[in-house]
Amino acid sequence: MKKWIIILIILGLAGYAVFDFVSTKKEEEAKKDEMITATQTEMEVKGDKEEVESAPKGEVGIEQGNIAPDFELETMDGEKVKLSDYRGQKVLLNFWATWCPPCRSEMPDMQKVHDEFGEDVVILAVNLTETESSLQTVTNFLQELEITFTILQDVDTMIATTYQANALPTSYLLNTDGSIHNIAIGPLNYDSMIKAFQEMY
Amino acid sequence: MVSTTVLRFLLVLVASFLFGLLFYYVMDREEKLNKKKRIDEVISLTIHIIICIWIGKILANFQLFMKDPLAILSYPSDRRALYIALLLVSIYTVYETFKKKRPFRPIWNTFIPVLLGTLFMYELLQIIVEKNTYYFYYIIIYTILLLLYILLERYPHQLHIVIYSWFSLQIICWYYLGSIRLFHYMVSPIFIGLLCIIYSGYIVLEKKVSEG
Repeated sequence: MKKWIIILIILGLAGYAVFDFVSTKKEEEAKKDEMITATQTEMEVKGDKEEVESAPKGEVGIEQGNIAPDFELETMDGEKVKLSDYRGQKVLLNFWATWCPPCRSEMPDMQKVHDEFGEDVVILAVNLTETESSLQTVTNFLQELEITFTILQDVDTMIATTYQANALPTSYLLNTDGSIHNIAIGPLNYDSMIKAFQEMY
Repeated sequence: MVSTTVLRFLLVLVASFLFGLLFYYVMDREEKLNKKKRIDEVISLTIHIIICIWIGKILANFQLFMKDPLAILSYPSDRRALYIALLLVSIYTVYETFKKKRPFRPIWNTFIPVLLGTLFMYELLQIIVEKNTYYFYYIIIYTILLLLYILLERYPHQLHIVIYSWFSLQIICWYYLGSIRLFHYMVSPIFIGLLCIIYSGYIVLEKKVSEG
């Protein structure tokens, strides 16, 4: 009798998980359909496909599911980069500083991901330049770790403030449509990055 | 916000572990006093694993640890840390078994149901709390394994069947999802293969010892 009660409990719990899984999937599908319909309507009104594709529909914000706010920052080489330039690619938007130990520790893993995935996954590491002792400290750090992915300079901490990156490191994982898949506060390691990229669309 | 994320993760782990212990406690047919003793042993083994994961984390990133200890200590452990931890714990357990001349099987018999129960609840909470649907198939795997464990309760090879089914289902999952997950660690299929070989070796050894 006891055995069957336990079996019933386990099946009940698993059943609930299936129910939750199906309803979450339905919600995701409905959200996607909503975005597609909104984009199609916009295309009909404007008749400009490219324009519409570059500005996906959805609420702009910093919560999961929102479209990540666009920005333009300079790389270490002085080249200007916009977040919206990377629509169509999975993006790891990371906020970091050299004085932050966990930020330093996750950098080699990000480089490993960059080496392995190349253009499939874009890593944008936004340095809180205002909080650094000098720009040279950042350059030295990057040279020491042989970092080759894109480093952006947030000279007045405006973007970090917009994204509320109060604790470092903070990472925003952005889907190909620019929506926020997940927000990771604290360091990510190689495994968690791979896991996140597999889950993203 | 940081504390909420970490606290939620810890709560999920603790709740899962408590479910694992409860599952063992309800399922096991031993006397209450013995069950409590076994649970104490499993808790002690779990604490050893956690400490060894920390040691593994340091060993896996030793060069960086020497340069920047804080960076490593605040870094989440990865699968390398898990491998090192399991190796250290295995050595320690074998040493203790021989030193105290106690049988190895009781702890194994307790640890597996606790682990299965813990993993089942962990995956369930991942779906309900974290809304993480990518690894949904794992909840099916652990449901099958728990049901197998319960239904084969009186069967002499209950544990062997459950463990080999586990290995096989993990490999099937790897084939379809491209990764094998053990809690938040993404383990390699080679690791699962190695565990399978070690376990088979253990069965052969145990049979020979009991025969001769």
